[in-house]
Amino acid sequence: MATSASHAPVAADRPIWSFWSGRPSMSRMQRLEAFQGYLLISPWLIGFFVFILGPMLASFYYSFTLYNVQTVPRFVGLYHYIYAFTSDNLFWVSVKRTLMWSAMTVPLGIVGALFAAILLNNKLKGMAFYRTSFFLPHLTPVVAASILWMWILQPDIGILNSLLDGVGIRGPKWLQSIQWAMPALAMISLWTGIGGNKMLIFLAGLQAIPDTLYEAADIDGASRWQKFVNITLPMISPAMFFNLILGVIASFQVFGMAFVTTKGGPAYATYFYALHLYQQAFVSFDMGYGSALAWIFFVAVLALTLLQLWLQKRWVYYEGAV
Amino acid sequence: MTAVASASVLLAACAAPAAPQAAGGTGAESSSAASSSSQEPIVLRLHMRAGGETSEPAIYVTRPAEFTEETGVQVQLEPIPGGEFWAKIETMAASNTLGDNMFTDNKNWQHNRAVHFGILQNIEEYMASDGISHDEWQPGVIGACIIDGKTYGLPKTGHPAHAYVWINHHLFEEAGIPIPDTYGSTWDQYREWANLLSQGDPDRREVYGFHMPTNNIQMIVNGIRTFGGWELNEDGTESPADDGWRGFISTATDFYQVDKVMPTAADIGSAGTVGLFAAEKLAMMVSSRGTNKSVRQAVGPEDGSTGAFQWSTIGLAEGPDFNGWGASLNTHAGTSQSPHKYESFRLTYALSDARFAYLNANEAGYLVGRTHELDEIGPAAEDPFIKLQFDEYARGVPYRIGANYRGLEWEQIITNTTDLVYLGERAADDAFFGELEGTIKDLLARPI
Amino acid sequence: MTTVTRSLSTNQPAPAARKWVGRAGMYLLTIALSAMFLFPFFWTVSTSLKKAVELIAYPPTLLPQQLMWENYTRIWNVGMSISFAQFFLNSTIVTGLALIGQVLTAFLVAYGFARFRFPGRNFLFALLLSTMILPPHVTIIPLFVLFRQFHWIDTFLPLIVPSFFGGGAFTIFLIRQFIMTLPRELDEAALIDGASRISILWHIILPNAGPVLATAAIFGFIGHWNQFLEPLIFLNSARKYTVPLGLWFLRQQEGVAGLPEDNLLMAASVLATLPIVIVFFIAQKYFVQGIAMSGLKG
Repeated sequence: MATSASHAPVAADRPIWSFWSGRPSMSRMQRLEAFQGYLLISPWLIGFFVFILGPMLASFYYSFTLYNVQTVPRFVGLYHYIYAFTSDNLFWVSVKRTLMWSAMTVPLGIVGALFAAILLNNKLKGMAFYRTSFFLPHLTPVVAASILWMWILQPDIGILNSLLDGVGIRGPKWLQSIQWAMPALAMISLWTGIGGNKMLIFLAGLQAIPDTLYEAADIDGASRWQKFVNITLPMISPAMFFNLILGVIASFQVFGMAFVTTKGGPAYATYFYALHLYQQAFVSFDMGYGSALAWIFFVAVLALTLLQLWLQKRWVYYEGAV
Repeated sequence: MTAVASASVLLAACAAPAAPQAAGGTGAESSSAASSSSQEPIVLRLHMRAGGETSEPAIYVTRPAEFTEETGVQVQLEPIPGGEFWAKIETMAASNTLGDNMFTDNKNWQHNRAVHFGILQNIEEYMASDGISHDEWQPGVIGACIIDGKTYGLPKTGHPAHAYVWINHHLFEEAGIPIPDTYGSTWDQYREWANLLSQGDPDRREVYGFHMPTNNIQMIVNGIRTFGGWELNEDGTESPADDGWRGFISTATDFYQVDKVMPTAADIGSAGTVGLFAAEKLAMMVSSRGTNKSVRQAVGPEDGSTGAFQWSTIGLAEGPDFNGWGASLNTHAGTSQSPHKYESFRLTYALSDARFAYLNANEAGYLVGRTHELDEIGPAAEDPFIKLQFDEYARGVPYRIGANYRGLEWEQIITNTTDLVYLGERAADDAFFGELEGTIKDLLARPI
Repeated sequence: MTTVTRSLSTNQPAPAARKWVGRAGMYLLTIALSAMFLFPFFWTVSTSLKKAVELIAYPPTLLPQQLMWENYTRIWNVGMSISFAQFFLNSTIVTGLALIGQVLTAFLVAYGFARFRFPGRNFLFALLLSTMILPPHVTIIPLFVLFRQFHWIDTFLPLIVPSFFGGGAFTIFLIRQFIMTLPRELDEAALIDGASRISILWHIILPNAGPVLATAAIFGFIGHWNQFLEPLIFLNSARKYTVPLGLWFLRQQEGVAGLPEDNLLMAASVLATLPIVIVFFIAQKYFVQGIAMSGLKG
């Protein structure tokens, strides 16, 4: 999405403060256009200050206070941050769980979505039906998906364990087992996620690959696998990059499923970071600490995203990039 | 003419079992008549746990209707899902949208936390002016409402929670165990009987001998108390792992992992322990008073006259150093944000008085915690389970309250940590108890 | 950039036969995957039509003995002073109003970003994109405090009003990309003829924007209908709950002593998902079109 500066300089290329620098280098027409532009984007701009930037600054402030909604905030400096990193063992538990969750679901989710997109990219009969069936789980509200899977995963009378019993395997207690709770949630997550937005993005990416590349490869006698590795993968690497960033961020935020099914248990097996934050901020009403946790989270996400942006030069291939 | 009129009033008063009401009633009527004489009727918003109007209509439908008839003040129910009740209440309190009365409970010290944050209304003055004495209720029960000499809310119940064991006579007879007396059973006996009563392969039992809900804080506190311990030290800053903690947790671990006579949550399934009990897959079930109604519905009456098995309820074992059951308090306290302070007090009392006790006992089969309750509840007093409850209520000792009121987190730490031993991940050894103690101490040291 | 290496193909069966095996394999995999995705839905519907006693049967039966449609009517009017019909109504109001705000304002904002030149435009657009990665937790606590100041807690306003301020970065992004694919010449011709910018929006851009607006509306509908965290935090009274919250609320209710209530829960889950499925069926093709239009491929 880099803009190329191959046209004559226009207002949009100038830094924002030059608007007030008073230099008469903008014509009346340009000034009018700029004014109208600002007017049009003003809903977003106002919303940004009121609902995003303002609250972000406020939560930053709260993170240095003891704030219970019943009382006024009391300044305590870095207490919350120090507490989180040194004394709150639930903090580290939730970080570990969340990282494990990411590691479990992001790679599988991306590979699965790519696989599904490849399958759908064929001109098979009944494609509309298959596309619908792939996408349907994604449309389910998190709560509904959690509830129906809780029923499927019920240890004694659920269908999954009874099917396993049929082949002679003694199914685990899934959501009520310390070892299997997170894999069980991962199953639910993959079921809803594989056929979802990631797949659509891959699909769009796949459909944009010009056939000429494949035809040229066929002429050269490339095998299926070679075509995949040397044409498909590089051409969809931007889509993969996009999915990776959003996928990682979304995985860090996992909340709804755990909240409805296990509430972080058993024995903290599914105690994700967002649950810890919710618990502190909206159950114990320790909003100062909740804000500190939110900012730690935000900085981590930001750092990870910047890292990925920096690494993208190494593996993402942009067609037509200079 | 007047003699006949007053005679018929007297007759009516004798017929209704609500006679003791008359004394405190007149003061209320005149003042609320005065306040309700202005334009519209007063509507009191009552926050309660969702489902109450169907499962406990005596409390949320019948009695409020009577209250409205007596005083002209209307009651509007505002249900909140149980799991989120206190979170929502605090949110509303913080946004000044709280109603006039609210259900409170103290098992996670929430009642006390609400008092600390000034959410509840002190009713000492109204009690004094209306001549309502604390002696109407049992000391362990009303004691939980009195904080720093002030009274907040009146007991809807102040019960000992998990202090009863339901037993299946048929399974006992099959196993050759004589039916135990109402009092005097011991934990050693429970273990012995549970082993005899359990049937099937230990890893996949067909019948479980015993169950107690080890993830329920009321059960946990009672378990600690019965083994001679306390859930907190006196100033609420620590939960030292004393004999009570060790006794209860080790016993439960043995039941789960060593003898395998107790089902875990996963083994119980969605029908609940009552479902298991009714299906004769559970022989002994420790639970709280409300379970009795469920068992009567699911199984039938105790004597088995409808064709199902015979069953009865006995008191939970009290160890030699028993410290008294945790008195689990519920009230419908008036809030400090209510603009109708006196009316909300009258509603609080209406949901705690003798008439309320009568309705509640006869419908739900449990008690409020009043001193002379057996005289006030009419036919319900004949029910043997009511008599058992009355005795157990007298053994209630209020909960100890944690210094920073983080009772919900406290419960979460306990249940999540003990999950590790109950599910066999760790042994209930000194290291384990040391860690549990340390974690709880850190929690209770956090500023409020 | 890697290049395709020249190689001579050897030992490969005749292309036509390989293609046939390949296609059969594709079909098999696709059908298998579809079945895996669809089975839980089938199971949910089947369970929702069973009697409570059938639920504890082991091994579980595939189909209900008798179609208990009354499970659905029971859920719709579940009693306990709150009914699923109420949740549906709440969700409809919230989603409907939020959607109008979102699509309307996103359209305006996207037009501004796409067709107007003003200082700092690129910076602001990059800022807009960056908000897509912002976790809601950073803002939700102060938003709670803010809405409390406005006395909007326990009303629908916190769920609706923010949508009238651009309605989310993704929607703006989508529409902006689309507008940029329309040739500027049309605009410029109209400008020369003396048309105002607004009439350009109305007469030139809007008629062509059908597909992208439909896509935005669909994504917006799904997003708002399925929202869980914000309603959980901002709504207190059970009778104001939206459908996902209502479903979670039902989950916490206790059933009749001894019998499970999963059949009712499944019926509720079906009802919760149905509107989205219907919307999706009606508007299938717009989905993939919408993503393709956003030019994410490169």
